[in-house]
Amino acid sequence: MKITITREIAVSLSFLLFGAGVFYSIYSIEVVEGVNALYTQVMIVPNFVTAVLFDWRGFDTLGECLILITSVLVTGMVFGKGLFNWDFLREVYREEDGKDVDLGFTPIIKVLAVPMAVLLMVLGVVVILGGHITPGGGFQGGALISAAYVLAMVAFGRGRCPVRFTHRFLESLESFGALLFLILGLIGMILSGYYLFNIREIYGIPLFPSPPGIGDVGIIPYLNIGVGLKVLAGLSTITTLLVSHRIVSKNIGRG
Amino acid sequence: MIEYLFLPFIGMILGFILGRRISIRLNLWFYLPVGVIVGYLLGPLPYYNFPLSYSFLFTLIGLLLGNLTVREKGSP
Repeated sequence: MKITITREIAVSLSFLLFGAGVFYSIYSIEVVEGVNALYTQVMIVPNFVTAVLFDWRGFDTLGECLILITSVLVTGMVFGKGLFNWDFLREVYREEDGKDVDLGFTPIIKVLAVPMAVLLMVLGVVVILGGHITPGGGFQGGALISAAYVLAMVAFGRGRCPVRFTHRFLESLESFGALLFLILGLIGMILSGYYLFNIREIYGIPLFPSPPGIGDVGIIPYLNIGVGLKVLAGLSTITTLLVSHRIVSKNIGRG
Repeated sequence: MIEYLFLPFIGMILGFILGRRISIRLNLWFYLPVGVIVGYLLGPLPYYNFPLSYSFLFTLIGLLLGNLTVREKGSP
C-alpha cells in the first residue's frame, strides 16, 4: 500500500512537472538561437526542415517519450485490469516458466543469436551516441538494443534467455531516462526561461566535449541517452509481457 | 584528446551496464577481432577522425568488461 501511494505521488509530481513545462513552453513560444544557427552557418544540413528539427530536437524527443509511455500503458491495459501489481510482475520476471515452447530452432540459430545480439546491442549504443551528428538517435538505438533482447528471447525462450533484463533493471532504466530528460529540461528553464533550452556550456566547460568543427552540441546527446534508455526499457517490458502470455492469461480477471 | 574520447567513454559505460545483463560468458578472443572488423567496416562517426569506429570498439570493450567481471548469473 505504501509503495502504491509513493508511486502515485511520484507519478503525479512527474506529470505535474512535465505538464507545467510543456504548457509554459507553449505559452512563451519563441524560436531561440541554438544549434540551428550553427548548422545553417556551416551548411551541413540539407534544408531548413532539418535545421528546425535539429534545434527543436528536444521537443521531438519529448513527443517520442510520450508516445512510448502511452504504448507501454496501453499494452498493460490490454492485458487486463490490475495486472501491474508486485505479485504479477514478480511472477512474470522472476519465476521460471518451466515449460518453454521449443519451436524446433536449429543449433545454427542458437549459435548465431548471441553474437548477433551482442553486436546489435553495441550498434544500438553507437546509434544512440551518434544521434546528434548522424541519422539515428535515442529512439532508434533503444529499439536496436531491444531488438537484440527480442532476438535472444525468440531463439532461446524466456526461461533460458541469455540476455537477462530483470524488472528492477528495466524499471531503473526507465526511471533514469525519464528523470534525465525532465531534469535537463528544467535546468534549461531555470537558466534561460525556456524548457529544454540547449545549454552549451556551464562556466566555460562544454557539457558534451566534441571534436572541433562540430560546435558545442549541448544537451542533445544526453537527451538521446535518456530516450534510448527509456525506449530500451519500454520495448523490453512489452516484449516480456507478450512472451509471458501464459502467466498473463492466467492472471487476467484476477485483479 | 578528451573531445575525441568522451563519446567512446560514455559508450563504454553504457556497454558495461548492458554487459552485466548477459548471463553467459562471452569469449574475449572472438568478440574483440570481430569488433575491430565491424568497427572498421562501420567507419567512424562524422568529425571523429579515427581509422575505425572507436565508439563501437569502446562500447564492445565496456560490454565485455561488464560481462567478464560482474555479470548476473541469477534467473530472469
